[in-house]
Amino acid sequence: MILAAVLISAFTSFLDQELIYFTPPPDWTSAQLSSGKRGFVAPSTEHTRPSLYLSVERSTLSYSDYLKSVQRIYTSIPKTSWRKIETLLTKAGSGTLTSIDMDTPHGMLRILQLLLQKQDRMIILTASTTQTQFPSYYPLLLETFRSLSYASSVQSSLQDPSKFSLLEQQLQTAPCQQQFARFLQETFPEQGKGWLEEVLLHYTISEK
Amino acid sequence: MKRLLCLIFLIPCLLHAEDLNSVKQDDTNLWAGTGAKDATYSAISLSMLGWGVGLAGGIALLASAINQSSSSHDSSSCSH
Repeated sequence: MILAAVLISAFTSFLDQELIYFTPPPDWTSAQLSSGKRGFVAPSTEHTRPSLYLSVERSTLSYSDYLKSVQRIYTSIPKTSWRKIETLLTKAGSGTLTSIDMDTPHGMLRILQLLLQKQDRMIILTASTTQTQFPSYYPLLLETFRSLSYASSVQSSLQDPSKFSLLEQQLQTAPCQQQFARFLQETFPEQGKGWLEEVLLHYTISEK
Repeated sequence: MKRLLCLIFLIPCLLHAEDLNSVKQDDTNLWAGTGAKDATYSAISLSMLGWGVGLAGGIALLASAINQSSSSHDSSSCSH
């Protein structure tokens, strides 16, 4: 009885967590750094593959002060230039699209970075390409950036809310991570890989 | 006497405790934006995973070639 109560409360808190995610291009694959950070990489035969990485930073600064701080940081890095491109409207709200050019031992890289404020957090979506790759990937990256989404709970993130009961039923069986991943893939294909990774990450944390 | 000395040293510490809190707040703001820089380096690292994959592929090919070479050598030595 107590175990059931603990399980229900753990899953309730998991389902109540807010989600920040985006939809990567269909043929991009999930990749993990040795630090455990996860992102997506393009299916390229080149050594430097375009990548996408989502992160969040807590900040008490105002949006404009945060942008100034970011500009100060990038301009202090040698062989690096930073500029604001435009305001970009995403599913999570409007953010500032910025571009960073970096001269690295692997050649000139062009980074696109979207900065979007949600309460006391900055959502940072970053894409990395080489300067030669950039023109062909730019439209795809813009489309991906526009897919950036924010949901206050797992339920509110669902495109088909009627499937929420399936999720609740599945959680009552306390599935392991692999089982849960398979269930999500089979039951919510319309949600996309970015959503699946985010939900799975929250589930793994709640399991621990 | 000792107590008096301790009290004399303690008073400035207590007076500065509030200042230290404000320094901590300023310090948090000072680091604002580093998340964006870290994100850039993480994205670049992900891009460079291709180097690792290419290297691993190269090693696998080389290992397979060596294995085939040695097995063909073995088989030829067996046939003799």
